[in-house]
Amino acid sequence: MSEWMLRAANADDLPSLAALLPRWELEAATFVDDDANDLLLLAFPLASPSVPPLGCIRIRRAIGLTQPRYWFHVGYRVHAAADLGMFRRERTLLLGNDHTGATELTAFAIDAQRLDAAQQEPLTRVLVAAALMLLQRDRRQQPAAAGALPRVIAALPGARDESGQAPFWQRLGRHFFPGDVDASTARYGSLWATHVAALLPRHPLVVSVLHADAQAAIGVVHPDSAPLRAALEHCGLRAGQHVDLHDGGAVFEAHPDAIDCARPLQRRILDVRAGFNPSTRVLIAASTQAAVWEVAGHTDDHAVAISAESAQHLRLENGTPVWCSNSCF
Amino acid sequence: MSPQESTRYLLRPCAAADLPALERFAAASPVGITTLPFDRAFLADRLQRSLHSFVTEDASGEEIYLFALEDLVTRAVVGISGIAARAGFSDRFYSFRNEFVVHSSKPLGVTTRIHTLHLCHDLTDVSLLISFHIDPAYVHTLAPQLLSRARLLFVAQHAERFADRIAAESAGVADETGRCPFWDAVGRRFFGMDYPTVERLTGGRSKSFIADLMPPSPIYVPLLPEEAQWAIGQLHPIAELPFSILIDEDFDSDTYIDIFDGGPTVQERIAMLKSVSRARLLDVRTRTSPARADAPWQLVINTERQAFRAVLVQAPVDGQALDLDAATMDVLGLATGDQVRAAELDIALPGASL
Repeated sequence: MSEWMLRAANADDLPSLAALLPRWELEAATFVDDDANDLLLLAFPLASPSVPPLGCIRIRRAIGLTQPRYWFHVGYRVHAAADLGMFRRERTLLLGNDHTGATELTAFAIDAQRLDAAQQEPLTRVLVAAALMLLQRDRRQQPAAAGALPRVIAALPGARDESGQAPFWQRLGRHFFPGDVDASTARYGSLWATHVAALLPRHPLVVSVLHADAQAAIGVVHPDSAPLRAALEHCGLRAGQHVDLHDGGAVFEAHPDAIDCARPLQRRILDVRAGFNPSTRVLIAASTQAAVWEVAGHTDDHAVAISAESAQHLRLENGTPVWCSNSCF
Repeated sequence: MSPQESTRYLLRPCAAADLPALERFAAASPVGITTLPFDRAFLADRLQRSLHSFVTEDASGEEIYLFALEDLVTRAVVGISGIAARAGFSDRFYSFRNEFVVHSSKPLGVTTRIHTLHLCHDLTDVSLLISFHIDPAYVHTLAPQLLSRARLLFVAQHAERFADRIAAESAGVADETGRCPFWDAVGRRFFGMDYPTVERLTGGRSKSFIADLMPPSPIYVPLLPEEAQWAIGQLHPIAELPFSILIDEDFDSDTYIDIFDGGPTVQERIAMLKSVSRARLLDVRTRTSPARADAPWQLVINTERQAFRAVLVQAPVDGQALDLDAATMDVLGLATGDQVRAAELDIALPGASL
């Protein structure tokens, strides 16, 4: 099983990121030195950190505080007429900014050309867990930014038809914005959703009035994203009451305290041992650096023990205080 | 000159003896005509309410006035129509109001105009034209003109009993089984039952439950199936004739639709309607010579309530007087020197005849 290094992207990584992310995502990405609220985390094999990254995930803190972000809230309205014995519970969609201030995990990608399905799944878990670990570490070490919401979200891709179109959009949003979604996304990036929200209904929509295809797409996660869904669920995130404006995909969410892989986040001393080869895995993060390593290791009440070979790649000396976690593996 | 030669049709208040005629028209009504369900007890009750309404001096707003159109040649009742003094009396009267909202995104360079339907009570307490039914054999005569328009002059004549605004629902699109595309796309979602069932439930009872079951937020029309969108503001074939008369009277037909079948609900200030604005109070004089063939058609009502009568006649207006032949005077229950309210009609009905 591979060991992994995850670090913040820098400008030198841009050429190699084209295989992972669309141009608009790269143009929107900032780097750790530029913006502490926006971090693109790249995954490399620990033994060959100079190859192009095999996966990435983006952490965006305190979203929506400069440009409004929108989601549909899936709620319910009860219509009852007692004298007729009628009682109906109607699902509704309401456009809103409920997750404003939350931290978002986004731009998740794995290079499927270089990793087969069996290799993708563990890397997916590592990416999610590493991102959440950094969030938890920073939450322990520094106060939250003004306006930040103690919530982590991740919007999962929703249902698509055979032609790649989103039935949710075709039966809902298209009536309000007839333009080309892909072209608009390429031009405006994630801001496209902000712009298009101005065209969408401001009043609650009763779901039962929508076309059956749109109803069926609400909260659906695309099958290709099953590994990501599993990784998020493994770490304690769950589908909440919000869906994406475009494809109706579920928005997973969790309060940071409910994130399983972060709850046992421990402050330990690095214990480097020659010839050490434990069967367990640990996530290790330095105190301030935007980097996480997923290596063979073992924790006890005082230290996290790893092999000397792994420690060479971490470039951390024996006795260095680090953050570690092993609950996700 | 016999009455048949001067005026063939008479509109008068429904009498107790008209119950069989009411039943006949109710039985012939297609699904969707909710003001006249085929229910003898209901019709008898409605007739009694009408009789009382014409008589009572203590008008509260819950009155319903039913009129019978009589063919003076055959003495048969060939049509009925009515007025409810206040729509939704003691309750709310629900409609969908057409509204257009404009959404704009400057960055995307897109501005859209979206048709929405808002559940509203705007027409509560306006007067309501109801129960227009005409024998099919008389559709292409002048009879429907009298049957519909004379009600407007009745309202104008007895304005203290009515609101200053009047509305009329028109049956929307539905097939012979009662299947209604607008209902299927909207109402069925909230009521969970078919249209005929709801019609039975709502016929003659409070409709307050509508507010309990329908969404208070607007319905975005583009999200409805095309068949339902197309049905908005469209007429059931049976409603085309009465609707066309109301449109000719300058009713507004763009603002409201029926919440059940999506048919247009027209409305207007009574004073703005063509016949009402043209109507004048005139003295009547007995004419001895026949009216000229090119004399204008006049919609004429007497000024009575309980003994209300209305006819269509060809008669010239001479200053403040209207010359009527003796037979017409008799039909209207008039004597020389009495007053009538009369409005000249300019309708042109191809093929129309007496």
